[in-house]
Amino acid sequence: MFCAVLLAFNAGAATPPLITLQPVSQIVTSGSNATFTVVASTGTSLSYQWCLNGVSIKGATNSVYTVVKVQITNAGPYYVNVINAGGTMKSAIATLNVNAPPGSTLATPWVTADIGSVGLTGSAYNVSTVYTVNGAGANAAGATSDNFRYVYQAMPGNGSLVARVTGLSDTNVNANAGIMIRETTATGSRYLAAFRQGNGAMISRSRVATSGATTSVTGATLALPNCWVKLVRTGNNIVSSTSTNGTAWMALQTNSLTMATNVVFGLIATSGNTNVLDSDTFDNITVVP
Amino acid sequence: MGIVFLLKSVGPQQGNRSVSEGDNTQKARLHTPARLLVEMPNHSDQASSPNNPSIDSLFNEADPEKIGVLISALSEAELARYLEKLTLQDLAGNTGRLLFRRWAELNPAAAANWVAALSDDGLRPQLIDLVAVAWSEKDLPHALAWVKLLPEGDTKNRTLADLGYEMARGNPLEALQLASQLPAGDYADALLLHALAQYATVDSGQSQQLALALPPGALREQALSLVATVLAKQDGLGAARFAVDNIAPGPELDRAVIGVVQLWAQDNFTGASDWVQTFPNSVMRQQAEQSLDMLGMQGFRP
Repeated sequence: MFCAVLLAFNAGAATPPLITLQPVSQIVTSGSNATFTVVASTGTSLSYQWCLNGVSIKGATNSVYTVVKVQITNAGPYYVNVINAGGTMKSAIATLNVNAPPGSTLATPWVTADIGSVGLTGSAYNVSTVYTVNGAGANAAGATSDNFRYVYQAMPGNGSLVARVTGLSDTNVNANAGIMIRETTATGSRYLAAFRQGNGAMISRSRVATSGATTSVTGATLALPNCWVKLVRTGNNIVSSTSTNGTAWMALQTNSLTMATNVVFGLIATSGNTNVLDSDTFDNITVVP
Repeated sequence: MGIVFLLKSVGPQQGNRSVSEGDNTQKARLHTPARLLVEMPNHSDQASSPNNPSIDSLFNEADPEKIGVLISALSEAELARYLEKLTLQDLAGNTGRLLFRRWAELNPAAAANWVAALSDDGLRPQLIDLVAVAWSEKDLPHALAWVKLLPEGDTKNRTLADLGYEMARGNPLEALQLASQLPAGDYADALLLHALAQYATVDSGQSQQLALALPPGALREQALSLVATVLAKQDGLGAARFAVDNIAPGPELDRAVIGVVQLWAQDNFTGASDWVQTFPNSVMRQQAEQSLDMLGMQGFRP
């Protein structure tokens, strides 16, 4: 249920609540707890409804709300509607940012960085062969520039990259998890990517001119965790494919990209939202640089 | 209000693309500069068609691919009537940005003049970058000359770096020279590393010397690691020796070693594998062995 619905009732002649202590933004480490508190004064009894990303949190109806054992998917903008007979008062937004678990690292030779303006700083780590990439940003592959979290390594010439997308925490169409060959880490770089959207559609998208328009091909809708993606670079030619089993591949897009010889390739993750971090997981990564 | 009117605009912009019919001042200010810049007569008389839609239908088009295709096909004459109606707020969105880029492709000098005088600090840096990159596709020297005339600061440095990336594709040595002219910082470092990697493909010996000549520090280590990785594509053993001899123990040596193993093994799996067996037991050795296993499964193991 969207929190806005709650704003509609209880309007009356009495005075609406007055918030005297607003919830505060915080950064916590994955696995720890995060507590938000609101204090309101009024002459009548109060009720509360906490919301994340504008959506009511079930059972979060007290003045104090604790997120237990925070995961990256708990990150985002929180607020509370304080309600009495006189109306509803919406609190200030408090953003919860979640750091990766302590000691988590990214295997060599991968490096990670946010590309473009993402809103929230992303992160990435792996545990054995499972990679987690947390990324924000409005669009991994926008019209003239891109915003996402990238886990990448050098690609000196021809090569290929295969990965299985096993998890994608957001369901909107601009939430993307997949792989990308990219000329540079500049936001308008030339690239070709294959990724799964939050709604399940497999997409291949490319930009052949720096800061130029993109072209896309939409493939089948695949269910997690069996969303395989592959990119193969041969000279200027890049072919993207998808698969449900990593064996039988279906070509999505073939495009000729004039790029520098030495480029980068790797994993991409974005939530489709600058206020939310997506948490996407990958395994079966095969790199042939 | 149109894009050209905004050249002289000050104060907050309203998100309304259309100009009030009663606002004769705005209309007058719009019209003359528009003709001066894009030199397109009769643009407002053109009829809408499937391949040349009205600006409202263009902005209402839901398919971003279609928008890109339509805009990339616009002639300068067709583009003029869109520009006249474009608002500053439009330029923050994808469609407006693509229209602006098309202008920069077709008439970069005009777009450059316009954006250089833009007072909006939020949009100006991005649009300058867009103009410079689009201009460089046609005429890199002129684009570069224009950017060098911009006021000193972050926008100028970022745009120069982006031009350097364009340059590096065909002339990495020139891109390296450009990197050396940028003020020290992230833009200069990123361009230097990118251009050096390209130069390593052209002249591995010179690129090694350039990397070695960098002052001690993180950038030098990154440059050496990158050069070693590129070199491994041509000479696995030579790249291995170069990395071990020149990179200090640490993350960049690890990165170089794994990069070299991955590339060397594709050409000489046994040679790369034998080298890995000489490593002491360490996380790096485990990761190198994992890389070999992965490549072995891809058919590179003899």
